[in-house]
Amino acid sequence: MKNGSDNIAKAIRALPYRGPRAGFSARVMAAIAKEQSSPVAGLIGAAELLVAGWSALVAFAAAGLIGSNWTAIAAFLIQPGSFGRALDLASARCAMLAGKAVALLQLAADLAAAAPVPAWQEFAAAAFVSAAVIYTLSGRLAAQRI
Amino acid sequence: MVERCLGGDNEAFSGLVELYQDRIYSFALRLLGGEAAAEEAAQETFVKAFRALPSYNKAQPFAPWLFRIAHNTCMDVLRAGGRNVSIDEEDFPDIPDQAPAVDDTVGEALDEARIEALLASLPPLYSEVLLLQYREDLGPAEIARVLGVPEGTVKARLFRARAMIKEKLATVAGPGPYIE
Repeated sequence: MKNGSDNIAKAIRALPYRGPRAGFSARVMAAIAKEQSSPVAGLIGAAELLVAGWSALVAFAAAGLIGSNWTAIAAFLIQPGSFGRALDLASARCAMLAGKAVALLQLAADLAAAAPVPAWQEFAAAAFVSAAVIYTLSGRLAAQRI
Repeated sequence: MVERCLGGDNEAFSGLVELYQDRIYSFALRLLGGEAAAEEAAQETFVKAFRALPSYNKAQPFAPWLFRIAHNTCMDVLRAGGRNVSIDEEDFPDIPDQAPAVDDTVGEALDEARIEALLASLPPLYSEVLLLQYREDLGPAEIARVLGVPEGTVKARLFRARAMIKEKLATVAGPGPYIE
């Protein structure tokens, strides 16, 4: 007796491939070229450059700081219990920064309440820059998801 | 060729499109049913693939990666058209638990038109596992990566898909010529 599953498999294996209309690959390449040359792509490229530049600057500053203080850092780290103390220091530093951030926000709120509302162009410029950064980051995530 | 694409060679990508266009288009055609929709989905698949090339892991085979993009694109098209592409209770057709003879219902060879019609009559989540397994020769592990589901789910869908086809054949044919 023939096995039914085998017959189904055989029939599907024998199905021919269909082809799209002629010039399909040219249309695909044209769509890719169009996408690459669009103003949005230029904007994304610029925003990516901005993000990459900022990241490089932060990395460079951090590396410089570590490089100039590496002896002190190494001396601190080889002491017993140094990691715990470093953690405590970092926590204290974070708490202090958080306190400062709250105070800064409070100050900004007070200033905003006292000062006139910024011009619409400033709002628009800030929104534009933020949207560009968010679009770039979300585009990268989407590319990873495919 | 993939290496050359990763190096930024657009001509090489054009070659990749020509190499895979029939497979991707056929897959989309059998899932979506219409030539225009299939061609649009296939084109979108290749554009997305080009965009996502930097994230492609060279250690993995290329075809399953491309089919994963095609699967996602086709599912998006089906969702946009109002088709339900999720698995829930409503998606499971009533297949009798007691179906001892269903394996015998495909006793004779299925011709091209009939198997095409049967595949088209299945929910896309089931027809695609059959196509990926048998037409594209992907194993359950590769299909799992394409669909983004566990391997066990793929095996369950394959089982269900085959059972649905047999059930449809039994329903259409009755206990006549297809039972040996």
